[in-house]
Amino acid sequence: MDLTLPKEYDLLRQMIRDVMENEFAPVAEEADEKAEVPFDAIKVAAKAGLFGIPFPQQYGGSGAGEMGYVILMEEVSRVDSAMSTVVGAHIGIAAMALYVDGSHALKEKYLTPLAQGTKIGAFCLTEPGAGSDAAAIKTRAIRSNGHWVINGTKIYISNGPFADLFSVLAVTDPALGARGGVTAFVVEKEMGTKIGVIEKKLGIRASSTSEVIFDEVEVPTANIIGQEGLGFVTFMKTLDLGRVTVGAASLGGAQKALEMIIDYARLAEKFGMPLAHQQQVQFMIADLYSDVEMLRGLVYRTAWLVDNHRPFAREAYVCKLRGSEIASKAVSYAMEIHGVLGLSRDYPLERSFRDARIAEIFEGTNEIQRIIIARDLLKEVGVHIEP
Amino acid sequence: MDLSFLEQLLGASAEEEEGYRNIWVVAIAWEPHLRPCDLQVIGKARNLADSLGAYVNVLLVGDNASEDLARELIAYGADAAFWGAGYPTGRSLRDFFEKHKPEILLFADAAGGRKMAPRLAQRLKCALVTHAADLSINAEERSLVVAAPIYHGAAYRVVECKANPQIATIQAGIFPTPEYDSWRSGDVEEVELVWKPQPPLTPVEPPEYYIPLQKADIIIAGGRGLRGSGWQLIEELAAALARRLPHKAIALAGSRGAYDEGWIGPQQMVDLTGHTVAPALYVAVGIRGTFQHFGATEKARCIVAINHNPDAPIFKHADYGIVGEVEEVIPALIEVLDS
Amino acid sequence: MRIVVCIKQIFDPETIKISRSQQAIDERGARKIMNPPDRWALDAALRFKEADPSIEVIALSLGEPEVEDVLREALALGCDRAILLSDAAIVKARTAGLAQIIAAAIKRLRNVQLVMTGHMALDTGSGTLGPRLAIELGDWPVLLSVDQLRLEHGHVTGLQYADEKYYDSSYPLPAVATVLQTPEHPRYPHGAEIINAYRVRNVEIWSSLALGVDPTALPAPTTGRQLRLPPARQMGFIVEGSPQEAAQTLVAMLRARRVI
Repeated sequence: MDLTLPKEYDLLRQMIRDVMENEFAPVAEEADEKAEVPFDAIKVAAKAGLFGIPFPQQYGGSGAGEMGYVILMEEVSRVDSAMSTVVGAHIGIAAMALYVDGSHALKEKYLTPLAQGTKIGAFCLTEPGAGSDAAAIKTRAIRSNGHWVINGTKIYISNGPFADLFSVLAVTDPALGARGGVTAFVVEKEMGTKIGVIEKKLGIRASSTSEVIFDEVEVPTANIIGQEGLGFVTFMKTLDLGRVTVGAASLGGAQKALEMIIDYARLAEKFGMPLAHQQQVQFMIADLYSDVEMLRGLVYRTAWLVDNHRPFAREAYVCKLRGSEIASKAVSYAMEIHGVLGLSRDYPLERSFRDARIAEIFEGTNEIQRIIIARDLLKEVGVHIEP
Repeated sequence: MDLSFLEQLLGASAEEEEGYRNIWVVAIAWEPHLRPCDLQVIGKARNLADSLGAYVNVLLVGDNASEDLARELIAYGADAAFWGAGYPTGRSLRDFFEKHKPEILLFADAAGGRKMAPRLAQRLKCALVTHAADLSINAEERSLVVAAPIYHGAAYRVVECKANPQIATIQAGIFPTPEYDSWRSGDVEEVELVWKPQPPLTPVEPPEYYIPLQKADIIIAGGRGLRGSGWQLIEELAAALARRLPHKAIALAGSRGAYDEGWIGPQQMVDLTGHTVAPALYVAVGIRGTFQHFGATEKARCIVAINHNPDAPIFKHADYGIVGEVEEVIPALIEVLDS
Repeated sequence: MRIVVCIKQIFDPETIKISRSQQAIDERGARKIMNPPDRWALDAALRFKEADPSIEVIALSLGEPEVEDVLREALALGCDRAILLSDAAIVKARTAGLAQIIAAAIKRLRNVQLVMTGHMALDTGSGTLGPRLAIELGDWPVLLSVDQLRLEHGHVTGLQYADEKYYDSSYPLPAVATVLQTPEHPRYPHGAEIINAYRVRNVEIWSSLALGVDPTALPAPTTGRQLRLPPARQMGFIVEGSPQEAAQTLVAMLRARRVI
């Protein structure tokens, strides 16, 4: 059994790290402060293929699969977690929905510019009355003269303010609901989507989140992703894949926090000796390292399951659940060790602290992840719990 | 000086049979005066020759080579000086040294030698040690032992040359420039080599780059201690370094204090709350030195601190410190750099 | 026409550690990378190719089979071909012999008008390959430590850096150029090209036998003795004297440490 990654992934990781450290690290703080998306750096990243790492080269991607995508999210998040939200929303859910169920023609038309990074994507699922409870959506698509007309409002849409393409879930048959009555569409900005309120956020400020409003937006039938009525399945498959990479992004964030802790413990002196000499600091470092290594093994194995077409959904839930928790723990340990410095707006830890919290919330809150994992396990022994 | 007794010594060695003998130095006169780097090589060659029992011969080439300059070479320590005005073709230089068979052949690691030495070494199919920082002789083997920096000077690789001629280029500024001794005498001879046309070389303006702090080779940073004209002084210091080292990326920065005073922008702040830097040289002027400042600069290869307060913590974290008023120390530094 | 870029694989100077107890450089855990100046040379060559698609850029390296990784990286960056000179004899070869075997490979390629490489190898600090190659190729002119390279009217032109000055220099092709590393970051490889460099493309392996050269025919002209480490870093040295004296001493010390 060989658990080493093929060498192309080493070079891929190195390239991504170079791009992040040279192009994003110098602007990350300012982008966070001003809550502005660093578009210049994003252009360089797009040119290096960062927006299409997992997708086949046939559609403008790099052909690096889920493994490449996991490496991407880990390295991006290590430097700039706001950027990992931009990339995650773009690749992991908006473009991924097209990739998992879109027709060849639809992929050629829409996945290609997304993978090349010439267009940015957003994934429109959440609504005021439907957060992690995706089946409760109200946005409505009605057939009319060979088109579909979409009406409704989606909220907390990452990349919403600047996206060119939207993967949208809408109800096409209220009678059937989630079981056959919900359809996924790809909608162009030019078809008349509107940007609503842009969120003012605590963390991931250099990513942009907003309402996306569909007011009589006409969409051609050809823009249905997969089959009419089966959109819920498409979106759930997409979210399963997305969860793996929330875990990967958390891995990058936790790794960064661990590095900061070790560096600070080495430098700072308290009571006449470096913090590193104090046992409770050593315990923190050891605990965190154990968590990070455990997460690394889990995330990489899950990516391997995906690439080898094995079932992975349950592992993906664990990636998201444990990943986000470990990342939060890592930054709160780091805050504890850094003392007042950790609170400084000018020290990058404060940004990591604000950014880490979101991973426990988006793409299904951790409470939902727990419920699903438990129900899935209980189902195996014959216990069926209906929602 | 009668050196005939050395001939006997040399006669016993294997090298003598092959005919390789003496230390040769190639000096270049781009300008109508001798270059300090060449003189430093001659000074070192003189030391080595004395421990080896050999002569120091110098070949002086370049547009401005002249008999007068060749005589000066004698005064600086050469036993014999050969000169020719012009730039020799590679082949004629090879023929010259194949005829004269130097045991050791030295160049300054500077313009001219940097190109000439490896080309000559390849024509002669022999070794060349570049950027030598130290040289000595293994007397038993009559071989040249050279220390040259590797990994940016993190360590020195010591190699021993095994075949004649033993060729090395020597860094400028490592060895002292020898004394001029007008009483020294030696042979001066004009040589006939095959000359090649050398296109006139006129220096042009160095290219300009935007240099982020992380990529700077040298950072001059100011702190709160720079009141009044202080900031202008460190700008002048940076300019003086740039004049001297146009290829180096030199950047101006400041401490957290300088940022709070509004003297620099956030992109210039060196601090754990700003940027962490790793230049070859970091000069902290008027910076007291907080722990956050130290953490952001510890990867610098060399740190210099200039501060009027001898108790400033910065001195503990600096390789070299000068205690003094900025208004006096900086102009003195600029003067030394420009001289 | 063809441009050959010579690339060296080195230990990343940032990742090596100095072991004072062993008096040695500890390379365990160190990463191997493309010698950074070579990357700038490659970038310049690829810019020529962008301006004139008829130009073929060939990356060439030499040594153990693992050196292949830097050539794959060169392929990912956009080289047309990558050639690794590798066999038991080549691995043993030293300076003069190396130049011979590389030159033999370049001659075998035909129609090579420009050979480029970095101005120095960051591990050994040596920058002699370019001038040595020029001799083996038949006394080609050399642009040493050059920035802002241009190809025009059958000449290669650029700013040569020497003794802290830049000179506008131009030589007729064929020529050798050693390229300076500048603060401007060279291109990044595209993700797809990285994947293809390993899964689709080939690194050609050439042996000294095939080239008809015995790189070990020349005896090793030097022997490594040992490593000498600079004295351990001592912080807190105060340069004494009047401002003028202190300034003079300081500049001399900085020069001796090669930081200015």
